[in-house]
Amino acid sequence: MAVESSIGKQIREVLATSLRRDPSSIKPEHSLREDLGLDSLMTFELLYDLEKAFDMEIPNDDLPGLLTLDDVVKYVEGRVNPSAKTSTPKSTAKTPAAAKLSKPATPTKAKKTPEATQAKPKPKAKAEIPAKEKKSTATEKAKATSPTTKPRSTSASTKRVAATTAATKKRTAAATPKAKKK
Amino acid sequence: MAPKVVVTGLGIVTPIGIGLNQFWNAAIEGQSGISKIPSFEGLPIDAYRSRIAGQIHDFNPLDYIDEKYANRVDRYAQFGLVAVKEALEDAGIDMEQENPDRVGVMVGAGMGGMMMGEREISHLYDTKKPNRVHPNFIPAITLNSASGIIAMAFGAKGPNITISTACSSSIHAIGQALNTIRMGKADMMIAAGADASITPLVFAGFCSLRALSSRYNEQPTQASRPFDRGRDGFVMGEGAGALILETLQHAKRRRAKIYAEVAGYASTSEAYHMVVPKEDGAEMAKTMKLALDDAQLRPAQVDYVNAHATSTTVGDDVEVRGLRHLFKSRANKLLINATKSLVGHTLGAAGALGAITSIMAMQTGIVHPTLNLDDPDPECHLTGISNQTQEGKIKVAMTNAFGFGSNNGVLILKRYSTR
Repeated sequence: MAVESSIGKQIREVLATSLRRDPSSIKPEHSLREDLGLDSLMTFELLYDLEKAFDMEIPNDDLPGLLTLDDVVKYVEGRVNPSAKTSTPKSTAKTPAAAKLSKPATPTKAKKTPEATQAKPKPKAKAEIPAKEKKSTATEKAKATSPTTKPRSTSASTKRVAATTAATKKRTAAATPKAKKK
Repeated sequence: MAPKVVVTGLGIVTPIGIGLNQFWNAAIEGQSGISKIPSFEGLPIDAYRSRIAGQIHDFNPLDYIDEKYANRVDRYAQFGLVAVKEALEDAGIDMEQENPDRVGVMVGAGMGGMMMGEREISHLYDTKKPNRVHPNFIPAITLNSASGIIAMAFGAKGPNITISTACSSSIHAIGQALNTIRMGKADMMIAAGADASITPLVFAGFCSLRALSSRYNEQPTQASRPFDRGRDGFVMGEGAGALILETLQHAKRRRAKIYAEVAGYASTSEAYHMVVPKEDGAEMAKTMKLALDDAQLRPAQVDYVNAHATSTTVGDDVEVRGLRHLFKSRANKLLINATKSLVGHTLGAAGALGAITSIMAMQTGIVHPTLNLDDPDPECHLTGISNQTQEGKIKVAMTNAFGFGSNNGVLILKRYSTR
């Protein structure tokens, strides 16, 4: 294991506390789901704790990239310390907030500072995710080749007619004529 | 032998129409009822991850019901009252002619009176004045306020029960109404589902659960997209649906028009997880099978499925897995649609809206489009799911409803024929 950042250590400790296990038994490469046994609800709880501790927003669209502990640590580091990747000058403002992590229930006092920087780093943080995102779309693509993908119309039985005329005719007959809403 | 139970009246309140005709015309046209949430009682809507919903704008309960009842209850129960009123009128029921002890009410509600609830809670903490909590707070937030006020408004003195199983509540309301009649405890049941909890706290809670769509805040009508690859969560809706169930004999005696037979129902728990269904869909398939068994029907006889399909990534996949599991090759022959693509997920009302949609599909042979299915996700694609209006003869319809708390409910409706 490479030298662990303080953010990484804190995240690992939060995880260890909520999972009631020895922090040293949690490895960066551990998958949140498979290795650590986090189900979706537990994952959202972890994100909730992180959002509070680092006073940040983790958009839903970033979730697919957060598969292992290492993903989460890198993600949070990227968000908290965007200068590591880019030339944005802000960098250390968040450490006081991060320090609160060990007490996840307390809302951070250092709120204002990180909030101001948060809007800017967001797109950059996203830029760190693509590796994983690409992977997941690739798997989806692979699945897309399954036989069920055939066009809807081909196996439509005779009793099924695509929208258009017949449906329109029947519709007017079926539902009591009435001024359509809109 | 248990009596046959039929549906003789329908009533509905939705973001795309109040009243059966308005709803149905909008549904088969594929109208979306999803819009931006205009405001949240002074809270900054921009702070929410999701900022869209299927809301019923400009609803005035007094246009439909006496203020004596309307002003006693929260918005969800007002919706329920309006839906039940329409259903009773549609069924041509004159309560003066009925034995009130033999008419019951079964309501499904997931959240209940949260509008008043949230307002009073925040008011108390703001003012620190317990004596300023509104006297109507408790009667209004109590989850059976809807079933209670419905009984009062229409004089139904039979069994009166509220069922709360989150998103599947009203499928169970209909199913338990069926069973109540089968057991001989009532001749007629008003079965309804209602919810109106697009409120600051509940909505924030669903956002924190990361259950709501957040990608389409600027394109609200595109947000509810069950079975589509671009789906990213459900869109909250609000509304109510009501069905009048009665014994066939009772319906015949009063020469009622008959919409359909309520043929079967099943209720199970996956005993698995608070918010996630068992991934392989086997539990859902089992529930569907049990409902068909209850109806004495085989999977091969099912023509149409009103899917639970909320537009969440996991939920839609699992439901289709369940359908494939049970129906095998027939899964691709079923006509299927997702009513939530039109109105969002109305939680406790969803099962009733699904059942009403199923009945209308059976009556008219028209299956409303599943909106926004632009790029079908192969993980959950079946050939009978379409963004177009479809047509077909439907004799047996299945309505699915799956709820948080590992809860599953399936209802089977059958076309009624005299022979």
